[in-house]
Formats: sequence, structure tokens, C-alpha cells
Amino acid sequence: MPSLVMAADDGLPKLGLSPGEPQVRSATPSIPFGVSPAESKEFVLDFHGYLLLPATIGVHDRPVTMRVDPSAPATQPDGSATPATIPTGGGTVIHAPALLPQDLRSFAYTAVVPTPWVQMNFVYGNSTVSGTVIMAASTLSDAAGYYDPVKQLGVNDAFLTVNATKFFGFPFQLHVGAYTGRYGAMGAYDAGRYATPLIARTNSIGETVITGYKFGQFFLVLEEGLGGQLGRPPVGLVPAGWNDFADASVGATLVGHAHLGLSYAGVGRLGLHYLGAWTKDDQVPGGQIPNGRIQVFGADLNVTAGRAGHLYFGFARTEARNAATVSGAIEILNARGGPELMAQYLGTGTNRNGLPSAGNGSLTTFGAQYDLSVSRLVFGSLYTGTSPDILLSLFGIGTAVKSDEADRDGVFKVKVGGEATYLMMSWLGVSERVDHVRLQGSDSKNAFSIFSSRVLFHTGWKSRDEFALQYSYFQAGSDVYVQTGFPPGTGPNANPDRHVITLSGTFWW
Amino acid sequence: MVRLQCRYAFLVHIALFLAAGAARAEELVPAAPTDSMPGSSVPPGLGLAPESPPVPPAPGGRAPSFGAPAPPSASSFRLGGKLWGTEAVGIGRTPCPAAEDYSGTALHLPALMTSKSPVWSGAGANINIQYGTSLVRAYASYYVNVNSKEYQGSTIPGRGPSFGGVYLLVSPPSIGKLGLQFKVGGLYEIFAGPGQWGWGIFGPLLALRGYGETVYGEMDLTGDLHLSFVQGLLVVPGVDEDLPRGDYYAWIERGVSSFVNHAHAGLTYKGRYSLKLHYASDYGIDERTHSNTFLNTLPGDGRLDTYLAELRWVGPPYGQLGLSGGLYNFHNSASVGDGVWWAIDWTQGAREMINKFLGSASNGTGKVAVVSAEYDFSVAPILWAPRSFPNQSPDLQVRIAALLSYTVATQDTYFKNSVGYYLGLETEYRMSKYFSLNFKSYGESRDSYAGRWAAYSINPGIAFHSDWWSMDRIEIYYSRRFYSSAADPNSAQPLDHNVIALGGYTTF
Repeated sequence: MPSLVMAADDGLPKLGLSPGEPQVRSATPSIPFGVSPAESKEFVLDFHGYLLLPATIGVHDRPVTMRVDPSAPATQPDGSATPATIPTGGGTVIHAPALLPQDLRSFAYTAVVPTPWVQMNFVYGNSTVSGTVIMAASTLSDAAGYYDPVKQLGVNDAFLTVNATKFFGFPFQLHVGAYTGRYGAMGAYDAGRYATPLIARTNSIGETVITGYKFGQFFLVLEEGLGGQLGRPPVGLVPAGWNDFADASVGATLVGHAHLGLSYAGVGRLGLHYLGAWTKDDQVPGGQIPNGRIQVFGADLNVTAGRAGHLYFGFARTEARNAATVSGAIEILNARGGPELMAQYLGTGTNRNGLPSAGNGSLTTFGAQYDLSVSRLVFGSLYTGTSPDILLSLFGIGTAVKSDEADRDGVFKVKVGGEATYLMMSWLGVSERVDHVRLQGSDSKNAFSIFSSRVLFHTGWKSRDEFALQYSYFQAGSDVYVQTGFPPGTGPNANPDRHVITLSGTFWW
Repeated sequence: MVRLQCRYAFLVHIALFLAAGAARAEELVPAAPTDSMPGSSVPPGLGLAPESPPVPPAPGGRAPSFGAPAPPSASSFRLGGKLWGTEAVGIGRTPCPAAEDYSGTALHLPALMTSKSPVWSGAGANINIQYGTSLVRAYASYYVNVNSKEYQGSTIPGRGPSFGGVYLLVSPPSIGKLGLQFKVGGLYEIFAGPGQWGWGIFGPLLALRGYGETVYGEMDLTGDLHLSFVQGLLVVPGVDEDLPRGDYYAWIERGVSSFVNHAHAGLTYKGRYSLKLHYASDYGIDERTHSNTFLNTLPGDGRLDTYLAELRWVGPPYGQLGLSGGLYNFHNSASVGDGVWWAIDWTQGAREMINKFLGSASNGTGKVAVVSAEYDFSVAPILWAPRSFPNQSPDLQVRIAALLSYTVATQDTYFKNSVGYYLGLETEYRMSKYFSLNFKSYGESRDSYAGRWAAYSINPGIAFHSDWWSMDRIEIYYSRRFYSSAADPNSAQPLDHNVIALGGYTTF
């Protein structure tokens, strides 16, 4: 196979492979660039990117603490060995990163304060077959406090896509590789205001088949997938920062899922979903773990009602049995696998029999989002998005926990919010968002509210860029804590910042 | 609730797959949506495409989300970067005391050396990506180092790969004579370097980094006089106090975060004479609750203020002369993070500046004055004048630089009025289209508790390139290095005094 960087027919005999030779077979790179493979009969290279770049600070009162004075003598004038302590702290403190109850993996996450995300998609192929590689990071090493290998994801997804519609005569798409599946997306083109797939997310290497059938104004969609995680933490691995505090006691996990959807005339779609993740493994410390399983049954409804806006409503029932051994091949409300499902919802203590919890229980989850363009409501199809508008959005997610841990059983968590955005000029808008989160039902000590005001700058009415200056006020109950420390944990030592200021830029192509 | 047994899950997939085969239609799929406004139709899919990012919609919900229908734009794409690979072999000295039966000469990979070197070991790439229009443009840098066990014996997670600087640059139309640009993202900024292009020999006197913004403005005051100004605010998030360091993470100051505000103004006359003033304040928030600073002082917020002036003369064919100088003002700076990442050499927050110029008994408080100058010229353009040199024949390029530091104030009596200096000379004689002779020499000297810390080197080398001004190089250097006892204090593991380096790079 000729080298990618040297001519093959230079007449010199080869005693070995060129150093530029890939270690697996690959296609030759004689390709046009920047053409969408879906539109090309020839092989082309396409490139897409997404940037979300916020700078965030939190402002709070700094507590006064008594500290040992290192410059003081070891013994006191009276001869005692008690070290001298002096007060430190006090005043106002600025936090970066801000101390917020906004851990992505917890129910408290609202996505109202953006966090960095960068990804570059490289797609090579034609309208029949293409390969996609996604490089991603949730930090930038030139700007971050330190190089965090966990947040520099490198090649995060790699998969092949086969579009065999022309061969079969009906829509047929196949994905094979490592990629995510996200079901229960509350937004029309995103996971919604909470950036949380309501039903489940899969993280696996495997396959997904999507096919459909159009009859009249109806369109039937079928989707199935099967995959597993590429590896598992080896026995003996010490949890540490560089491996994201991996848990070697979870088993190798497979996940299968099937979905059925019916859409009508482009105005609505009803979806039924099933996802099941299970583990049967013996490569764990001690060699014995019970079979673990997480299953999700869900249904959702999308209504695109023209002037009346876009409505999403979804329901999901998550059932967990010995979920402690199920890995992050499946995510429920952003909680990866059984261990995080237990930490966030089912509990990690002891069950009613006094035995360590194994992750048994269920979540009954529902969510909705409604988006409306007031100008479109008034002017109908005459409004094309190139003049002033008011965007309104209402959204919420609730989940009821059933667990064999007494103190987690019956817990009801709910978060609701609303957002109003006034686009006054092609380059300027203002926005107001309110969020309310209740982590323990009616317990106000475990509840908080966020009031966010924004000024938005952009380069056109429908441009894909946005620059936002945001102020958020956090009003938190006394038992609302933030994740902090290394490894991260919650505790009474860190209360949320009250005032949060964010400057962010976002752009995609 | 019917519970689907796992053993039947495979059958479900197969059944769905086969069932799809019965479905055939002439119109295969619904028409694609034309916009992403609320109420417009959406694709009939049941989940998000794997290409879409795991993020919420843009703040306010105005900007279309990734993949949504959006107007086409006349964007362009540019790809640039640098690829390099260099091996530096250090020829060791006999350790004292030496192990029993020790004999021969140790060879070190990488070479054991300190202070400035003509080359450093390593292999990797910087990839720079641009995408956008003249109005808004995205920039992303991706850093890759060869980092496998096969090449370097172990994998070091801290070496990457990583997205480095990523930002958006907005360049709106000029307002009269005033041109403005806005930069938002994770970025770094460099100021007050006496070199004409790039880093120069000893680098700038101020380099900043963090998440935040920078505003650039410029306007012509008269036909000959040009005004420019820059303002920025950057945030470097802190690192948890309990983060282990020195293992798979680089050495970092923990428990502190940095907030940098900076402002700059400059005048340029006829494009040949320029005066620029620079100010930066790096405010360090110290949140350590149970550990002290590296000076074993109690944590407390600190500050590093920088005041610099920069003069430059560009006088073709005689080259350019740059002169930068000013003052670094430290206050409890052991609590200042890495917002200013380069001042006089690396800073590692203010830690390196304290260790080198203020002393560990300074409590991180003091003042350091600095002057840095560099003169760059080529001989051939001077000889060809008044004709213009076509860059297609032999030439001798020369760069001379010096940097002087003076500790104006410190509580550490050992470093009070301490003077340090850096000296540098770099020459390249391009004798043919494909071949050059190089000579580089560097010196560094300053006070330390162990006496005068000094390191000098002379570095002759040769370089091969594909054209007179091509951006590719294959280089071979020999480096003879001289150290004072303070710079090479460990006789059991002495530094290499002889280093041979072979490497190459190309930029694009």
C-alpha cells in the first residue's frame, strides 16, 4: 500500500513500511473538501464544529476560619504547645470556577450557566457510506487552571454511517461504531433547555439501524440498536483523577434499545422507546457480582404546531435491579450507569434489610417543553425570522424515586423554568430566565431558584453565533450544597455562590 | 409492567430489522424542514443525531442549534500548523560519587540541561483551524505530542492531546475611522516583546491567558499617526486544593484562581516608530482552607501588577530594534495563579518569579524592574540597498538580544538590589538554497542562595531546507554548555555539558 506522504513509484525498493503508513488500512486522501458527503456521489471530506466558550465567575461572602499561624513560635509565652491561631478570610470572594449546584450528573443541573464544550466533526465519505470522527473537549488547556486529561476527550466518537435507502427502496440508515444515542430530546434540534435526554442516553460501540415507511401523511420510524462499552476498568485499577475515578466493581455492560415512532404531516410525532442495559461479568474484584440491569420504557410526543409553537411531552419509567454493577453504557437523566444512578437517586447506603444497597428501585420521570415565537404567532408564515421577535419557553422535568433505601424511597424531584427572549435588533437581544429546582419534594431547604438576565449579541437575525453577557442570582436553601474537592463530593463546607456572571460565545458550522 | 427479558432483546432487534424490509414506498422520506423556528416541522427521527453536541441551546434560544436549518454562509476554512520531531542526546559526566563498577559515558535521552537551548527534544504537532466569515470567525488550536510508551517509555496523560486556545473573533464594520474587533473564548495574549516577529529570542515581557474577552481598537489620528488600544479581562479557574500534583498532572499552584484585567495603548508613526504602553493586573484569589502557600505563609489574596513600555524602530534595510521595559509589582504574590504565564521566563503563577528574583523570604512581596532589547537585521538587504533584496540568494541573518533584571524591593535581604541578565546571539548564514550554517549562543546569570546561578552555551549547527525561504527545516546542533555550581549543584547527577540534537520541523 503506498505511503500517504511519499510517492509509491519512486523506484526504490522498500525494506519496510513508510513511517507515514497507517497501522490499519485507509483510503487514499485525494478528496474534495468541505462538501457534505450526504450530497456527493464521490468521496469527499466534510468538516463541522461547535464551540461554547464561557468565562464564569461566582461571587460570595468568604467565611472566616481560624488557621494556625506558621510564622508564630511553636510554643506560647506560657510554655504551652498550643499553636497560635489567627482568623483568616472574610469579605467578598470571587470564585472561578463558580461554586454552583450544577453538577451535570445530578438532577439539580439546569444548564443555565454554560460550561465549555468544543467539538470538531470530520466526515469522510459519500452519500452511501461515510465515516465520522468527533474530537471534543470540555476544557481548553491554554485557559484552564491545569491540564485535565479527563476533560480533553480526544477522539470522542468514531463511527461509520451507511445510507442504503437507494438499495432497499425505503429509508434505511445504519450506524456502526462508537457514538451516543440520545432519546427524549425536549428541543427540536437539541436535548432541551436542561440539556438532558429525558428518556435515556446510550454510550456504546455497536450498531443502530434506522428505517421508516411513509404512507399518506404518516411516517413510521423504526430504530434499534445494540452495543456495549469498549472496555471496563481492570481489576486493581486505583480510582484517581486521570481515570475519572473509575469504579472497577462495575461489570462489562451491553445495551440494547428499540424505538417506534409515528409522525403525521410534519406536525407531530409520537415515539415509544425501550432501552435495556445489562451486565453478566466475573472480571471484578472478588470475581463475583450479581447480574445487573437497568431498563427504560418511555413515550414522548412532539407537536410542531406552526403559529402555536413547538410542544414536547415525554414520560419514562426506569427500572433498576442490582444496578450497582451496570456501567455508564446507559445514562439516566445524565447519571452514568448504576453507580451514578444510585448516588443521585436510589441511594448508596443500606436497604431496609440492613444490607448494602445494590441499586434496586425505579424512577418515574416526566418532562415537557413548550417553545413559542410571538411574531410567528401574530404574523404566521409571513414572519421569516428576520425582524423583531419575542421567544417564550416553558420547561420542566420531574421524577419520582422508588428505592429499597428508606430515606430515598418516595422522594420526588422536580425542576421547572421559563425563559423570555426579546430580539429587538439583528445584533441585539435581551433574555430573562427563571429556574426553580426542588430536590426533596416540598422540603424548601433542599430547593433553589435561579434568576438569570442576559444581553445577547449576534451578527444577524438568524446567525449561528451568539455572545451573551449573563448575570444569575442563586437563591438556595440551607441544605443545597455544591460538589467540590478532589475527588468531588458534597458537603456543608461549600455553599453555592449567590451571584454568577458569565460571558460566553457560541458558534457552529 | 411487562419486563422484557434480556435473552429476548436480540430477537427484538432482528424482528425490527426484518420488519423494516417489508416497508416500501415511492416517496421515501418527508421533506426536510426549512427553518428552526418554534412551530416549524422537525425531522421524524426518534433521537438526536450522534453528531450533535451534548449541550443546551444557545442562551435565549435564538441561535439555531447544531444541525438545525440555517441560512447558508460564505464561510471559508483554513488549516495551518507546525509538525516537529527532535532528539537531543546528552553526553553525561561521571557522577560523584559513582556507583561501584561504573564506567564509560552516560548518554541521556532527553539531554539533562537547563537554561535556554537551541532545540528541545520532542515530537508532535500544533494544528490551527479557522472557520467563518470576515465578520465572525472561529479559531481553534489542537496540540498533539508523541506520547506513547513505544516512543518515550511511558504514557504521560498531561502531555495531551488537547484543545488549547479556542475563541471567536468578531470584526464588525468600522465606525468612521475606528476599527474594532472582539475576541471571546479561551485564549492567550502576548505583549511587549522586543522581537519583530514571533517570540523573539527571550520572548515577551507579558503573556496572559484564560477564559474571557479582548477588545482591539485602532484608528488613524493623522495620515502618519496611528492609534491602537487593547482591553481585556481573563479568568483562569482555580484548581482544587487537594488535587495531587507532580504525578499525572503538571506542577500547579492549587487552591488559587486568577483574574486578569489588562489595558494597552500604542502610537505608530509612519509605520516605523511605535510607542506602546501596557498594564496588566493579575489578581489571585486564594481559597486554601488547610494548606499554606509554597512559601509556607498563610493564604491570602495576592496581586501581580505589570507596567511596561515598548519602543520599536523599523528601518529597512537596517532591520528593527525593539526595546521593552518596566516594572513588576508583587503583593502577596504566592497566591497569584497562572494568569500571567510568561514575564521574565515562565512564571508558574508568580512562583518562578519569586524564586528567581524576590527570594523565598520575601513573602511574595516586592518589585522587579526589567529592560529587554533585541536587534534583528540581515546583511544582504543592507549590501543590496538601495535595490531590494529578492530573498533568492545568500544572506546572513543576525539577532542580538539582552535582558536585564533588577530587584528594586524585596523583604529578602539576599535578593535586595539583585541584578540578573540574559544574553543571546542567533545567526544564520543561508549559503545556498538548501543549506545554512547556524550559530547560537546564550547566557543567563542571576543571584541565588547557592551563589551566582549562571548558564552559558555555544551552539553551532547546520540546517537543510527545501528553498531559500521555505518553512521546513532539518537541523543538527552541537551544544557546549557551561554551568556555575549553583546551576549544576548535584554532583551525583550532573547536567550534560555536551549535547547533540537532530530534528526537523515544518510549518504550514
